[in-house]
Amino acid sequence: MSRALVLAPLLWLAPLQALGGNAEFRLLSTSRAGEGFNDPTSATPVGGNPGTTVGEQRRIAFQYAAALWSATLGNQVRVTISATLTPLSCAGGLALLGATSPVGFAPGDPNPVAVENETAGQDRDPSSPEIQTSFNSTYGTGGCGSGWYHGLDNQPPGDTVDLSAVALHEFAHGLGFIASGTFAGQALYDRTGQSLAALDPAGLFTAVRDPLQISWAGPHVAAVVDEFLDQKDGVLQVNGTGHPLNLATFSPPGVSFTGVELVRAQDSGGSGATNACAPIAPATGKLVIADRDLSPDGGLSCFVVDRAHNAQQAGAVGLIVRHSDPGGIPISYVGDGTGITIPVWGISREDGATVESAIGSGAAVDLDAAGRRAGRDEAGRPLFYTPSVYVAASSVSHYDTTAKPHTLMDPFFGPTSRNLDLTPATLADVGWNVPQGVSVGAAKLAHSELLHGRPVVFVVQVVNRSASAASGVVLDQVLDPGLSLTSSSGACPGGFPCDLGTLEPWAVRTVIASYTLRNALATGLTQTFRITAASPAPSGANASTTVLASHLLLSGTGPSTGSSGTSGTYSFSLKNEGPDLLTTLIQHTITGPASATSLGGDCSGTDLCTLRAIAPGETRHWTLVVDHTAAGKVTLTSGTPGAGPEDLLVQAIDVSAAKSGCSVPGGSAAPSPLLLLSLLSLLAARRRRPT
Amino acid sequence: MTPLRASLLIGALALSCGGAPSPASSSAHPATAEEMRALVRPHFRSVAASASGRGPIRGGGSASTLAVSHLGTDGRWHAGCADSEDAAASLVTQVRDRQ
Repeated sequence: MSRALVLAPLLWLAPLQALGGNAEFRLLSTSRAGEGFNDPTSATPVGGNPGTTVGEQRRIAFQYAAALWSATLGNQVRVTISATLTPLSCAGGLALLGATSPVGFAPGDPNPVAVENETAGQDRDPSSPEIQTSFNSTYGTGGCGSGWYHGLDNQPPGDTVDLSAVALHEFAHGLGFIASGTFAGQALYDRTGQSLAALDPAGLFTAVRDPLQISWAGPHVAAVVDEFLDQKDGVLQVNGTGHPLNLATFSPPGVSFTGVELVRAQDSGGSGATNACAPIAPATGKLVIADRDLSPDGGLSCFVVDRAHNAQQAGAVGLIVRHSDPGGIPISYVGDGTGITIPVWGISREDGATVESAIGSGAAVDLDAAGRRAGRDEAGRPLFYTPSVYVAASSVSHYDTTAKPHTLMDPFFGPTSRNLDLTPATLADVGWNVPQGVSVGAAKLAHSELLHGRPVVFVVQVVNRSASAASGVVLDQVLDPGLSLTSSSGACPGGFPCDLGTLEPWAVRTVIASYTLRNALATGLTQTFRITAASPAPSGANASTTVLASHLLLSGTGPSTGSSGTSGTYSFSLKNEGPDLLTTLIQHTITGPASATSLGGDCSGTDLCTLRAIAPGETRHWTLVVDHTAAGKVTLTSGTPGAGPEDLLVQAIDVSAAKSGCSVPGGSAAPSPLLLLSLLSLLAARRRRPT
Repeated sequence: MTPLRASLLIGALALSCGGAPSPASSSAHPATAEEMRALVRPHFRSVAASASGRGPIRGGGSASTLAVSHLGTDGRWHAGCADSEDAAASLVTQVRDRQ
């Protein structure tokens, strides 16, 4: 390797650091033309997402998540997420929605690489993204699932899956909410008080299968847990012992009992059943406990709402349903609670058995509807999701399902606050220096850097990461001379500067700003968004964010004629004219009687290649060999996926029939004039055109 | 060189997501835990074979996470996240368990 290549990544670090403010979260698309983020299918703007194609809406939804993490974490080192939307497995009643992994995260590393870069103050491997993620582009089509929701308003209709919310959740895993060494050092096994990292293998095996017994002990979470996990849940007191309950989602909260008689649900028909699936014996003024049994085939005997109707019909004041399966977690039952006015709680199979044994035919008990903090242990620490049913590898990378309100890092996706609840504090415990006040983040999808006729869209997020309000918040931009603002939506419909007013504690404001490229564009872009506030003033480190986009110069040479049975060699070069380190895709497409057989040089692959970490001023070179299989017209098109005609390098090749005895397999036709295409040349030509 | 070979990154993503996509089924039915295991098993086996896929907690889940969706016995689609085959299976059983 030459010395120049080794030095190149170091050279571009200096100007980035000089920019100050939050670094960007960069989304690197790996979608081909016409697919994924480049899907041209028309779409109607939805839920604050102004995109008018499926691809554009997907881009904005991903940018939304990336920019929100940027503002929330206040990252000072760029985080690059390699993202793609592609068809993934889907069959019957199952679908893969996506897969996410930290890149280069090896066993023994204390943290994923994004955290390591941030704490080191630099991207130690600029040629590699920090997170790679792949989402299912066919979800919701052809009977595959319920479909993605592209809106940004946190209100997905029906069963649709909120793309931004899933991206927020999955990105969090890649940012450090995962079973890392640092994570294990702060996750406690409550029964012993030891961290998971301190447990021996047998102890760890037990701990990760012990429900409601692994908690998070990090100091940043401890400082804010009351802000976010503030809801209470029930405790049943029987003979001086407390048993945790979980209120059904359809039940009224806050109903407690003192000295109420608890009885088992007795089938009024005398069958001896205690499941309340049929009318039960009168229980006027009593609390009833029923068994959620299963039918012999493993199915449900009836739904919990059916049991609730029967208990209510018998005059009961409340119902507790003992679960059928081991697991140790009191379940929050769901269902259509129409007409059910009594409260319904879940109790674990194990606790329920203890209670049933203790009460016999009936006993007075107390039920405190607010006797414990939902999703937290007795010390108030948030609990991890550790059901006891696991038999192999287990999860400690989600908060428990008993947490109320529903958390971002619950294993089930559901409506969550865009303040991201405990997740930023958890990531602060892992190593991120999370802002303590207002902060701004922005993201642009680097699917193609700058393309003619395509809007340059930024999603900007302004957050208040404080328990106190911030007043007089104003968002403004430092407009790159190459950009012209065409629309602004969300919190700043009138453009910039934009008065956001007062941001309540943990508030989030979203702006989607769309620009066109001015004709005068001669270099790449440097676009800055910055905030000011009357009180308190934002930290300088988090008061601005700058998004860079490089200017590319793609050129090529090769023959414009050929003959059947021969091949032609086409040479390409891509220059990064700055201002930023560049990673981009180049796609080659051939139409007509020909095929590509090989690429050499800096671009491997025959139709799509990734050119990584091209420093400003650096040029990469590669060749493509095109085999002419028959006479006819051949077109070789090259460019970044998603580019329009103006940004594509197109070479027409006339292929003649082979002359008998004259074909030279592997030979090359006569050289042709230089092909050259660049944004600069096109823009110059456009300026000369009469308008 | 293989014709039409994608970049190394694209190849890695395809591998980590269970290989070639299956056609969507028009006859969706409530999923079972075993069906969920079968769906996610290729992914977790794949990442387990790579250094970047394993979490450092011994006996713990993977450093790679899968977002999945399944049709529940309640006739609705449910979505969640898992870092192991067991965790994915529990997403199915928990939906049934809550009714």
